Amino acid sequence: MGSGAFDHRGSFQVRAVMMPHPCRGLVALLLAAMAVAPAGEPVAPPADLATAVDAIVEREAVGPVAAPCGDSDFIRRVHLDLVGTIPAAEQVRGFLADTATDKRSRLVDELLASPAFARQMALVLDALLLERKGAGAEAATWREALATALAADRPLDELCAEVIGSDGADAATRPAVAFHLTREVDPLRLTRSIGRVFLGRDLECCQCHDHPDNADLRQADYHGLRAFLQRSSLFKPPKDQPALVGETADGEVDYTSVFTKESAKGVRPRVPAGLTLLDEPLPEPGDAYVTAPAKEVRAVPVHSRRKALARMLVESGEFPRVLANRLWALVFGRGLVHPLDGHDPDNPPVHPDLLDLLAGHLRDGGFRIRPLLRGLVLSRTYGRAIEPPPLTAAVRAELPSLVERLVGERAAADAAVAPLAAQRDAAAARWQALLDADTAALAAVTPLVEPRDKARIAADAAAAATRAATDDVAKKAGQGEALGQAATQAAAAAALLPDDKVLAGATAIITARAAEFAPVIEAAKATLATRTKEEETARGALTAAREAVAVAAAKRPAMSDLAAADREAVTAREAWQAAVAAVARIDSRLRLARDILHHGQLPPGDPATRLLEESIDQQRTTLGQVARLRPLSPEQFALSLVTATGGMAAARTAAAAKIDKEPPARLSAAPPEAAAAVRALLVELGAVEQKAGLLGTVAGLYGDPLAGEFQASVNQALWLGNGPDLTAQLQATGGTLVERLAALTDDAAVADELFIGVLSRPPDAAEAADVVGLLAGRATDRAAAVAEVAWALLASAEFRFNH
Amino acid sequence: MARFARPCGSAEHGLSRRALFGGMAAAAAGSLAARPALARAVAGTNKRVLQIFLHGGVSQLESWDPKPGTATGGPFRAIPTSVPGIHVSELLPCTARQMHHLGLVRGMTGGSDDHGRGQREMFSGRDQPVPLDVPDLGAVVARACLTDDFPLPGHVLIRGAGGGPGNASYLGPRYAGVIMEDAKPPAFTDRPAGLAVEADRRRAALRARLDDRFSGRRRTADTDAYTFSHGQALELLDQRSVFDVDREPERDHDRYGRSEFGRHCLMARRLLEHGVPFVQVNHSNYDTHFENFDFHIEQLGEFDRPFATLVEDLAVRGLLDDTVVCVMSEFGRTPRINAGYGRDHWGKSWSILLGGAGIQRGAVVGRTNADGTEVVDRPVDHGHVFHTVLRAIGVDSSATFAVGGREVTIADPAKGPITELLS
Repeated sequence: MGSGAFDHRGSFQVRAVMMPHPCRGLVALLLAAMAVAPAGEPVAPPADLATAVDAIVEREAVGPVAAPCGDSDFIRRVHLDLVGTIPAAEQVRGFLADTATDKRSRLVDELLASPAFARQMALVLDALLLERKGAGAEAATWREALATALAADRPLDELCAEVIGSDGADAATRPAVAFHLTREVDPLRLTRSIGRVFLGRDLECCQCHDHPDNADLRQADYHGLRAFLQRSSLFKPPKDQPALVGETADGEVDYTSVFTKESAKGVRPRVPAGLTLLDEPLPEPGDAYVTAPAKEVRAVPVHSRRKALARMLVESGEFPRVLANRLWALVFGRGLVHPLDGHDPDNPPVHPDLLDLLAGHLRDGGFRIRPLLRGLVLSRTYGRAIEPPPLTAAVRAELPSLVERLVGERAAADAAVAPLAAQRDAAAARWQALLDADTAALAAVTPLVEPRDKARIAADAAAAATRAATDDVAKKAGQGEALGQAATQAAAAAALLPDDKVLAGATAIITARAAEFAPVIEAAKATLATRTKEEETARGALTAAREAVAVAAAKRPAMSDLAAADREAVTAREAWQAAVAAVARIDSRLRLARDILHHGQLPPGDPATRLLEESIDQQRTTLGQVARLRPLSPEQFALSLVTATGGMAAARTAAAAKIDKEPPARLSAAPPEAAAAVRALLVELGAVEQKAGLLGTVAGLYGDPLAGEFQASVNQALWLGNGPDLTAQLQATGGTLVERLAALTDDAAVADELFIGVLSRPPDAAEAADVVGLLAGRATDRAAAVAEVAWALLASAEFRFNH
Repeated sequence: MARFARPCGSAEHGLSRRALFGGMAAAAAGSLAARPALARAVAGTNKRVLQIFLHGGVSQLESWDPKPGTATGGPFRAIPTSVPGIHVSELLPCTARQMHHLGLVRGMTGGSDDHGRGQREMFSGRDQPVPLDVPDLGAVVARACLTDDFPLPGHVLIRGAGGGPGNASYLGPRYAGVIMEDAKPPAFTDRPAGLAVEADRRRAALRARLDDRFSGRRRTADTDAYTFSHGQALELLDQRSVFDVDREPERDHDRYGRSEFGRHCLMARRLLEHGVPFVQVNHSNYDTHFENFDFHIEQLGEFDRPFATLVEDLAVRGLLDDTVVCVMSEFGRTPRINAGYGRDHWGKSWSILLGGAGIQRGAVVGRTNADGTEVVDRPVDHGHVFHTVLRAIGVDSSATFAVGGREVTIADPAKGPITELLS
């Protein structure tokens, strides 16, 4: 696999080198990326991912793990993570009342099958891929396409390959081109985004120089990735047609370091921490383009580096790890590698084995999102409480022996690093030597390409001249024949009219013309003979020129050797990286164990003790021993606000009414058995699109800074307190929560409804009494009183965070 | 009116949220009464930046770098200033009398000739286009100077026309520009109709009780910051009068002039006095492709007195020692006078003004040739200016910010401050 993928008329092939892919062939993948139907055989995921996750986390735990969370926390948490909003009050009541032991797994399965899940994952992917910068009708189409793909359970590698490969010209993959268009198809912006989003590496600083502190972030990585994208550009068709991606067949990347002044020319396209696009075609003129560039014409090359990237990227070893890390972060609030675009040896995962497990699960399961998420959210690790277990003397008593064991393990793990580093360097050197040899051999080919191209142009011209001469002979022969026939017929007429002198004269003229024409024909034939000979010569020259190129090219190292060396270098690097991660894993646990021991010696209640406690709790959370208290994403927060206040139900009703009044083409075209599902998805999307303005406002106020650092700002608080959006939602009109509850006369029932509806739990006795007290004596402005309580619940930390 | 202490550029600053956390733990948890004590707990210098942006590109020849009597100089004279040896255009008589508080950079070069690009470069201090979104100076200053206990926004844009978005980019929404359209208070600083102050306090008290209870389950720096932001919002509403320029004495309105720009400058003074770290005032429009000279009489006529009054007031009130003043545009204007008596876009040799805190008063750095067509001494650009402003408020501009565990460079690492301009 991998050889001849882009084979075409020329004598050169692309023999792109890639990791073996377990599921599908390359061609199938490329075809699948263009089509709606998922390709390849779905492979059953390992039986119980949740158990495997828990085994690793619990094996690695330092001190006790937190207790399981209560049902209220679980239903809220899993709704937020899977469908992006808090549960409705009746869902909470139903879940709390359910006594079946399998109610959590049933809930998860229902949520995963729901249209809201597809919609939520579309929002997540939208925020990730367009960085909340998409706008207008194209953005809505893009979200609908994402949701449809996710509803159909399309593999994520396919979706990602489509995002990178789409040029916008094909209707089926048109929506995916939003990724490129949002970045104006600027190679530099695309390099950064693709590095961050799909490869988990922020290579930004490597545009100008190697990273000063991180040997693994090199300028060559940035420009290797950029070389895939350098030939692509924004194409704006005339007359307000939608923009597209154009790509040329040439265009190389050169760079110079601003620090060391080292430079490189004609950088080979290479996936960072992955493989190189080794043997690219050197097409002759006329063979390079499907559509050649011209004024107001979009160039389409035969060999597209961008499409090659789409394929090589999703088949890289890093891609499943980066994707698995993102999906872990989606439901745990922080990546095993943090930040999510910080995948490099200096920043190893907190649980290396766990990341390997998840990446393997994804890859072997055909990159399906649901089995992975299902396994994660049904794990005990996901279902832990946010309360850290107390740091008791009994806890500390267990630790000295652990520390001793870890110190021993660390020495062994540390000793393993150096030999692997040496192997990594040796493999890298072997690969580099072969690559240098190839580059040198290629340098000998390059000067021969121009003569070959000239010979090709000459041969094409000679062939055209021969065709013209052939045409000319045929034309002249036809003229001669017509003249001959005219002479014969004129002579026959003259014989029948012997007295007609005029006719006799004309016949003589025609006969003479016919006789004169023979040499003309002969001359044309002679020209044809010359042209044919010239063409043969030109063809001979072209064959020789091609031969020269082929002979020079044959001196390049065998591509299979190069490919093997490339792969070995990557594998050796991965082995070394794993060894480094193993040491870091021990270090992080040692630190936690020592911190807990140290904590026991500090005076209780002292500020320094409290700070250490906070640090210990953070470490325990990072290791998965305690559930993370994490802020809702802007999308989760906005949708939860409207869910709690009754706005989401109203938006769904309105969206359904609109769809039923004017069924969209997609719904009318759906087969009867699929219509209900299509309608449900469209209603869900329509409801969220109705809230697009609110989502935009909240994203602007709460949208994430770099690496998801939490920020609470006065502007947010002012908006929440005084802004028009929540103020409108808290009016007692239009079927809002406040309107419904203001009509109830039982204050305790109002308190209960408010807590269940907003905080997804019943109030405790003190809280209920507090609310009842606030409502007492407010008969004249009861709606205002209910709104005050509702606001307080919505503005509470408990609502703002996922717990 | 209370001022708020801010530890600008202090190494302690990165830890402020932790300090806050410790303080909150010690105080009665969640009690609003605990906050003033906290606000005082953080001491330090109190630096600010005032940026006046002359949109469209002010002519350096009609302002900071006059060339009277040359082919490019135009009709105006150069006048002496309060600093012997420094001359500015006669269109700036009031500013000329304040030059001893200010300094000039006459070697600006390497600028774009495009409005959007020039503006982005001057706001962000980075060569454009950069593939990533980078924060504006205001967001960087706010990030460097803002403490968790300061209730007012850290990055305020007083808008007439024009102006950048106040982009905070990866620094996050906390540092994004808050816009005061025509010096009116920022959005959401009015309680909604029908919500009485007592009702607001009632619901806030219930929220605080809920947060207390929740903090018993799990308490983190994030939950504290969130709870705290609500208290800050209430405090800001109490201090809403900070945004009301009409509270300034009538006499001052007269001194600043009853023009839009005059009122905006007075608003800027009020915000700076209340400790807002970054205030931008826009003045528009200097894009004088036609009738450059008439327009500059008009524009600088509006600019001169309010600006000079503001500088004088900041000096008299002792604020200038803590406030960097900068007056800049996206670029300068062509020395060549075009057929319509205009000047066009010019990034090759132009000037800006820097003054106040950390700046050598009365200094001039950089020089252009006789007709102003080239920089002949100490060429600098937007990147150097960005470094210089930050250094002037005590921020190590070669350092990095830690954002979410990631180090990001504060300013363009390929450039540095104009050291001879720093005091």
